Amino acid sequence: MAISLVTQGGTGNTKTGSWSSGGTDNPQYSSTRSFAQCTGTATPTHTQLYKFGGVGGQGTLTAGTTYLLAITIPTLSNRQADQVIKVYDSDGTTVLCNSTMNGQVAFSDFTYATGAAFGSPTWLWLGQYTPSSNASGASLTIYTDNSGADSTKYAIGDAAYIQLATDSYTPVYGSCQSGNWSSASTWKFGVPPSSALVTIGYGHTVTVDTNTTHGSSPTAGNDAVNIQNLASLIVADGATFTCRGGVKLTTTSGASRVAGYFPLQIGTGTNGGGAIFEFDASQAVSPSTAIYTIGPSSSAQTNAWVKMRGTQGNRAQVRSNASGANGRFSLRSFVQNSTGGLGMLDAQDCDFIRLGNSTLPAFENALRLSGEGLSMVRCSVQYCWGGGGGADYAIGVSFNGDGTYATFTDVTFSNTQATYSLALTRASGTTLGTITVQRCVFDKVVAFFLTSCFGTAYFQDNIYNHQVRYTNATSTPALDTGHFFYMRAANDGVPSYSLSGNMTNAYFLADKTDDSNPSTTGNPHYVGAIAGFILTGAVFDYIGEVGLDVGDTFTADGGTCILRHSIVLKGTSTGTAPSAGTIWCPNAVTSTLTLEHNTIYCSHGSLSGLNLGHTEIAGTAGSVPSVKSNIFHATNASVHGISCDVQSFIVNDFITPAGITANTFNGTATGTSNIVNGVSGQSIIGMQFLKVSAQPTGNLTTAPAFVDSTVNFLSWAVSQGCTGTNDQKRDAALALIAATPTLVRTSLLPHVRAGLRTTATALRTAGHDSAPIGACNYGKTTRTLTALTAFRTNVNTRYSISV
Amino acid sequence: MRAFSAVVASARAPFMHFKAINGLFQSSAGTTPATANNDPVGYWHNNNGDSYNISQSTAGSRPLLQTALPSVLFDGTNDYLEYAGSTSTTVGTAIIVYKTGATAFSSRGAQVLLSSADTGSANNWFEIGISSAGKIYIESNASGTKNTVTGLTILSVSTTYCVAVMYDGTDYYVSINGTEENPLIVSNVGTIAWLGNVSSPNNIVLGGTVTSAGLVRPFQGEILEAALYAIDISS
Repeated sequence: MAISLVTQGGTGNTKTGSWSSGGTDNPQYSSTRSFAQCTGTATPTHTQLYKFGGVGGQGTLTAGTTYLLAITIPTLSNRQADQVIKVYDSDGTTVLCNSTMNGQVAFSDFTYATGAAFGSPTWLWLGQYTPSSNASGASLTIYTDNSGADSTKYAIGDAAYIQLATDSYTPVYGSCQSGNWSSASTWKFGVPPSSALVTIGYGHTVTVDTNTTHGSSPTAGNDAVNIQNLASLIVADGATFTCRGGVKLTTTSGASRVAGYFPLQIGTGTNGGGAIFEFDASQAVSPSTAIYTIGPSSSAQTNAWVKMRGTQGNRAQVRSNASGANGRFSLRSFVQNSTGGLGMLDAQDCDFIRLGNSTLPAFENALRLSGEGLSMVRCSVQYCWGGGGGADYAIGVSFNGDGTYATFTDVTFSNTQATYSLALTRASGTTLGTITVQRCVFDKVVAFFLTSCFGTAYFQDNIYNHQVRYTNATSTPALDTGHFFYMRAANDGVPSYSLSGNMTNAYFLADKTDDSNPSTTGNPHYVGAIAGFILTGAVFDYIGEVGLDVGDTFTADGGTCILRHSIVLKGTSTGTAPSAGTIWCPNAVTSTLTLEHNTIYCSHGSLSGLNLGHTEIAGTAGSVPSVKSNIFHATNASVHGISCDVQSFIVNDFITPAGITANTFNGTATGTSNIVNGVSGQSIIGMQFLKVSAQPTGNLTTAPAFVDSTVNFLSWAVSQGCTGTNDQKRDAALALIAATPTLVRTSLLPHVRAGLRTTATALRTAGHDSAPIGACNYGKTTRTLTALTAFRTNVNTRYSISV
Repeated sequence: MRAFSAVVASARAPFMHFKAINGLFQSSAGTTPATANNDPVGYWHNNNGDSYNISQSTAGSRPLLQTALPSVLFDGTNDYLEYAGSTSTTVGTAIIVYKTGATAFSSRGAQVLLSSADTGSANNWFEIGISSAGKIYIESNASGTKNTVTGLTILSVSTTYCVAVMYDGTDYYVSINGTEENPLIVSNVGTIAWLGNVSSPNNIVLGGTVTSAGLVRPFQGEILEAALYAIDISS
């Protein structure tokens, strides 16, 4: 147990920290005897640095107790060979130890310094000294001595440090100044032993400059490194820091961030990148349970930011050693720290590998104050856990403060061990957080809690390879476009994607060919439209299973739902007349559905392009107010464009008859079991089992004459040069999209739409709005773009641009 | 008003073609070349060699030469360049190469790249612009009845694009950087139109729409080139 600890000072002679100022026992502050410099013989023969015990001393020395004494004088300039640092007794008459370490003090404890050379800087670890029983004499005074023949001045720098402890005391291995980890001069006791708990002292920056393993793999939750306020630990580019324990970011309380300060920085990205921080529990008694944390202490925190920088070709990493329990981030800023704090992450060109476990998430973040944020740019998150339970999020960010933000740009999640890859949630209160999720690839569920306290959300060009949940959707993303929704066998739910707001340009692909249990998991159940959802420019593509060739594409589950300029493709299963599926309305009594300018391939049997009254919901008159300018087409003559689950159950005019106009029903059956104005057995083009008060009018049966009706994801894959079996082509195309998610908007969707343009002149201006019927533009067969291409080529040359 | 059809009768070339690489002058008289960065552009000479040039007589409303691309920078407040005449063509092609400004589209509202309008009315015009959602739109207004067609591509700020709008008398074809805007979505149902369909048009403007209400929907950003053809060049 230490009885006195004197930390290093601040700058110059203006000492801060634990140095006492003034007084005869601390003459270093006197005007005549500078602590920092003693000059020539005119000055005292020795300068008292500090005094332990006795009158005016620090701490209390107990007679008969053995103490250890450590001294550091890191900066010693212009010192001559015969100038020494000595340890004197209380009256300065007896030299207990000098630089040669051959004085009266034994040296059995010389562990971290030779003491022989006093090279600058050097630490002395002095041996045992037992004060006398005389209390007044039971003190040590440490002098620097320039009484040698050479009177050249020398200086003692700012980081002079003295520590006195009982012999049972475990030294605090801390920094004494900024520098490299591998440099002895950085530390009080030389480079810390790997087993030591290391403290990066106030204001110091320590750089892990070479591959370093540190820590003892303590039990879970214990640390290897403690980073104090305004101190920083930097893992240099190209260096690996294997940390056997946690990293505590012991910053001070407060409500504002010190600009540009990061207590932990893994890589700078300026020297080739490739910095690695590895959690290692391999030395623990129970490696499988020894999980460690990068995060703040439990007291009020601020400034607990972690910065990571790699390069695009050589990423930085935070990873867990595969042989032990995983480390994790816990950068919570408000749950434990009620006064607020800034515990965030700023990462670019980084990999996060094997973080979290079944009880603790890989990332635990909570944003509270303005300016707090979590940013990942060009990162991967691999094999990360979510901690289990209902909030099983590999990355979970909770917003609870104005001006907070979360940015995920070009982030790829793979082999996620949690239910959710990402969840952006909200806490209580008014929040104006800014959320940006773009060009990200997810392999598990993604949840966005779009409550009214959410701020501005931008979702663009993401690849959702599982389920997506927009929950508590009382606000609408400012931007929601360009996504690719992909599910394979056993990935489906009911529905797979719960969406709201206003989304454009989305491609939904379900590939069920690998499904081992088609009877239960074959239906992709694509979109459940909640709380009102306007979807424009979507494509539904279904690769069905043998014997199961239909799914549900879009279900109006709540609010005002609108599907516009979207395409339901003919499926590619071996079924009778496969389709991406049926559009249902409503699945909730209060929801309505508008269908305008869609191109819908209609599935087989009793199902249809649009089905009403799903699960026997009676609905209300006008639940489907508008079905206009759509192409309903089929290749099975028994299929209808619009039908009803249970005709007798739904209300009259569930679908508004005047609202069904300007559509073309091609290849579909003309039903004869409709009830029109109470009269059964009525024929309506392309419709069956409707119950309406009047015949719909203005509908056509014109064939759409598509430019190419076979377009789909597979044909796009071929157009991109993908080869092999169809599965291989699709896999290769998926890889293309994963590498460049913007291809969905710039290539895949245009490919499909180009094929499904109608060339039927009767449909060219026949829409209710004088636009072409269907989802796509008119396919003018005589159009040539040679002149435009030439113009663009010239412009690109003239201005050195690419447009 | 000077009718335009006579000068384009024999060519598939644009009847108006403005290039920022040349033909820029500081005053509306077209006498002092604009050569230095931020020189005002009061006159932009039509590169096709005829007299259909655009100018700005008000010094404070002149855009500025940007020598980097080069381009002509419109401030989004009062800058525009105008040809005090019109075209009678009811089919055609407009190609505009431009760089969007740095301000979010939602903050700026609609911005017009190219327009033709009746300066004696506030409700007769045709324009090609960028919506507040950042999408290309084509809109005509016939005495208050609008027809608006919008693309789906959401543009980015501070980004250079080449947008081409072609009209063959029946429907529009819009290309952004060579990719067709498909679908085009009709948000206001009126009468589809082209510049020559505007009732009593008397200007062609780059950087906004000038009606009896003055300049509306000003463009913030840079224009590198603008070309107007009297034909649908894809036909």
